[in-house]
Amino acid sequence: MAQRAQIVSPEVVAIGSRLRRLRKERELTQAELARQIGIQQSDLSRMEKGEYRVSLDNLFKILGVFDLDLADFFGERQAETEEDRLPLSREDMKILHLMRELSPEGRAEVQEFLEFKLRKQRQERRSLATRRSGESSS
Amino acid sequence: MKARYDELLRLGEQAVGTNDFEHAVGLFVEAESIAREMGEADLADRAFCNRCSVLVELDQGADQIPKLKEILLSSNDTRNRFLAAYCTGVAYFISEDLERANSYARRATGIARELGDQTLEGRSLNLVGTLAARDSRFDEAEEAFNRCLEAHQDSDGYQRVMAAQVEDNLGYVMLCTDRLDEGIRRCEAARTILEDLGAEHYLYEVLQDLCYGYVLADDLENAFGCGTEALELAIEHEDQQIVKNCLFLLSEIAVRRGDTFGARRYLHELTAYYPEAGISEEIIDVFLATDLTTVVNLRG
Repeated sequence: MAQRAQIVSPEVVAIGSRLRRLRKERELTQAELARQIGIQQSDLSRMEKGEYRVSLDNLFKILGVFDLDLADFFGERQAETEEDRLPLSREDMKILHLMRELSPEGRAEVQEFLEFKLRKQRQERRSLATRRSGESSS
Repeated sequence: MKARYDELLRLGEQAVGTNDFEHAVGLFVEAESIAREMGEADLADRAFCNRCSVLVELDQGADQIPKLKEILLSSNDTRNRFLAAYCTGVAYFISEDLERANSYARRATGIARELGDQTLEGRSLNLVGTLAARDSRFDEAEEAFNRCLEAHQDSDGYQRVMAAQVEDNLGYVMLCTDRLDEGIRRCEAARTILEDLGAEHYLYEVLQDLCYGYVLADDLENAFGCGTEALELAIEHEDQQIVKNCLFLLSEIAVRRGDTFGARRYLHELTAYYPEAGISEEIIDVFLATDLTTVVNLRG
């Protein structure tokens, strides 16, 4: 029973390691950052190890401390940068041309739909990864 | 006079059972005053501790900590010492001093064991588990809640409300540890009991947890129903933490439904609770772009 209860989500682990990286980039000690966020140093340490889920209140405090690196903190910027490095294919270009022909309202709708599909895809990948990690641990 | 004291205590406990907390406080105050008139210090302490158990439910126990500690250290009555330790733990929990809260909750559990009273042990174990869940120590929380449920078997009256809360707490821990079906089943069982008892004051946290469970299970219709009901009740009962959690969950539901406009609306409401962060579109975009449901601890 205790073994099952210790399952940690991959998202918490990923955010923990990003938090550690950002702290080090800013040359802050755990004690200094914990003080800025207003939490115990031991909690920050567990957060960086991916053992601690944050409350909404603490999440907003963290967002406040790292205000310039929000996307980086949540891993979005990194993904975009990697994709940006790839050249546009003919198919990409065709989609862009079609988008240009749309009205601003139409573009907004398409963008909204794309964001929705992207999140859905991420969720599916995440649940697949969780299932796989569950199968491999059992 | 003793008969009147006993009657007041009985009526006070009855009032607690029907969530009539203000009335209960009044009855315990009167009982305490009668006990003091009789020169019965232990009886007065019992009435005082009973009053504090209600005050902590109303988030008003912090002022009573010095007197509670005095009872814990000096009383010869073990039951009073338990109540004093437990109420001190809850009062510290409410004032966010979690380390002290944990210490007093464990102390209360030890005293309950000394007494051999399973109901009291269950009560303090619920606090131990709640503190562990808040601290993301889900294995410890699960163990405490399971032991607590054993203690609450065959309970009735107010104990049923407490048992339902524990069932919900255990369900939440299961949701956080990837056991969605069992977690939802336990939270639904808690909801049924609280709805039957009309215990609205405790229902909205269960509905919040159910909303969370259904979000994780991608059952957006049920998630939305529970989330909106929880939000309404939490606003009515002025429980800011649950309001914020519900706004966060409802924004996630809206995003998954492809309703970015609706999600932004909930997130604007949520960010308004954090004026220091400012209502930044950048923050809202982070929430829109990232699924944070497995990162956030609703009990945190």
